Amino acid sequence: MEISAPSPHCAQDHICWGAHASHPERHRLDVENVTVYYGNLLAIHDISFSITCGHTLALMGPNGAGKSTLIKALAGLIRPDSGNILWNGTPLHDMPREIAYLPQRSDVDWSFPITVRALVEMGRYPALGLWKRFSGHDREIVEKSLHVLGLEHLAERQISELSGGQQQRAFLARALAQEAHVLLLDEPFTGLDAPACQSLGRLLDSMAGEGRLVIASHHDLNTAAEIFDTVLLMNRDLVAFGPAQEVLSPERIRETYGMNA
Amino acid sequence: MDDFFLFLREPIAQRSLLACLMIGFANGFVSGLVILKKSALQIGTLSCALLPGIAVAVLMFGLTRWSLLLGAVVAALLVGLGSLFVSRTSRLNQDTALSILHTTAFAAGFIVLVRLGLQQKIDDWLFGSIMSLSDSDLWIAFAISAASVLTLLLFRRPILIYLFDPDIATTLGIPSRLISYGIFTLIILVLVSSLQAVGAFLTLGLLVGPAATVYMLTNKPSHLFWGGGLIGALGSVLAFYLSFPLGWHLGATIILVLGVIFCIAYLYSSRCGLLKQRGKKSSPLQ
Repeated sequence: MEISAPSPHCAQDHICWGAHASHPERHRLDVENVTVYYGNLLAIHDISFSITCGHTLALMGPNGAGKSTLIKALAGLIRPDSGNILWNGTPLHDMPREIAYLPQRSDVDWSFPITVRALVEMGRYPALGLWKRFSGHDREIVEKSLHVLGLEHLAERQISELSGGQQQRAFLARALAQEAHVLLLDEPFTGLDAPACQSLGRLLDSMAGEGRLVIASHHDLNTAAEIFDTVLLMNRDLVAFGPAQEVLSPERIRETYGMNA
Repeated sequence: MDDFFLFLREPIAQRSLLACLMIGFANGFVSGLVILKKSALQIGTLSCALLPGIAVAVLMFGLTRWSLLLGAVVAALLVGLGSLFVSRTSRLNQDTALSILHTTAFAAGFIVLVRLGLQQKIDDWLFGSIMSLSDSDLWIAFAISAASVLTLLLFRRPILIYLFDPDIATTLGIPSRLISYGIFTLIILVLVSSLQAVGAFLTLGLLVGPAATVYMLTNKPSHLFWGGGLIGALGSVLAFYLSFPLGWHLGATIILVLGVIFCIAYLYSSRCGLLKQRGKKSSPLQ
């Protein structure tokens, strides 16, 4: 199954920041027959799909369907027992600059003594490595990332002092500062109130519009079609993959979630 | 008091003072790591795990300074890294694995020590005996202190990102597993270097107290390290000057002084609202 970008390709250089910015073709993620076991327990089975940049993709399914596992496998945190995850033909986890991973908010230690600005500056690590100096260019990128997400006035705040929506935006700003091409978000909408959900949805949409690939695990069937243009339904196995409106049909949802959905 | 000034001119007194300064600074500096990693209790159990190492080393090589040091390092590494390994390869978490390994090790060490009839000698190691330091002890303490501070300074970027979130660190290309083992090794080495100053039972205070004190006054990670080092060094030196005139045990005095500094900082921060004050910049990159 394959989905191609609505725009011809994400050729705007200032947006396609990744290592392949000059690549003439569309950036493309290929997931090929990915299977992950936890010990003897099958978490996801034989998942395959392809998608290009410019899309927002929701991974959906009931609890235990393997959504987070798939996100973690894409992020390189879990090595699949079989299958490949390729970005323009190269294994994705070989390119830490290209992927920004945003963990579930409940998994983050919000009491860690760090300001919003410092969190965003972490995104510069893949470019700077251990000892390279933090240059004016890096500072500029950090400022721009804070600006794009409307966090300038919160830059010196401790991350513990942010609201849920602001916390997600701070993590997105880190992804921007990293100049990452693929954004992987684990349940980003969980625990946010309705206005924060809407504003995060718009942000993800505009990030995809600028040529990034946004992939998020998501559990709310009611909001999925508003927020995401593409949906992958899974229950360990892939059930359906395609444009949100088509995939989220009552039959498909019943097939994925069982009769209770 | 005159006795005290005479005593200060003795080489042994100067050695002890220098040791207090170095060990206090290195432990205080590394305590920043312990606070950010939120692993104080793990370190506590580790310090108890030193006992069997010492016992086995005495059994194998006799009672020498080097055998004690070697035994302590090997025991702590085995228990510390062993617990990390068990937690990675079973369903147990590291705290559980550590609890089992360190109590088993402590029990074994105790049996060996009693069999050897070494309870008395071993008191020094349990409670510290900084006055009996030799030149080579001082060099060991210096080497461990310098190496740990340098390592933390050189690798502060990936270490801080790892401490914040190991998963994010991994996705940024940081070898998280290597860092977790490295941090553990470094903490164990520093722990062993403080053994002679304050002993196995009290090292935890020196390796947690200083940065815990600073943590109530600042939000900036680099302050935790440097401030921790400063408080560790000052507290240890102050304790050195107090312990002789008062006739108090030096190791215990160091921990007591650090405890009092902690209480003062706590009262100050809760009264003046510094806990709520925001740090200016706390960047791991700058």
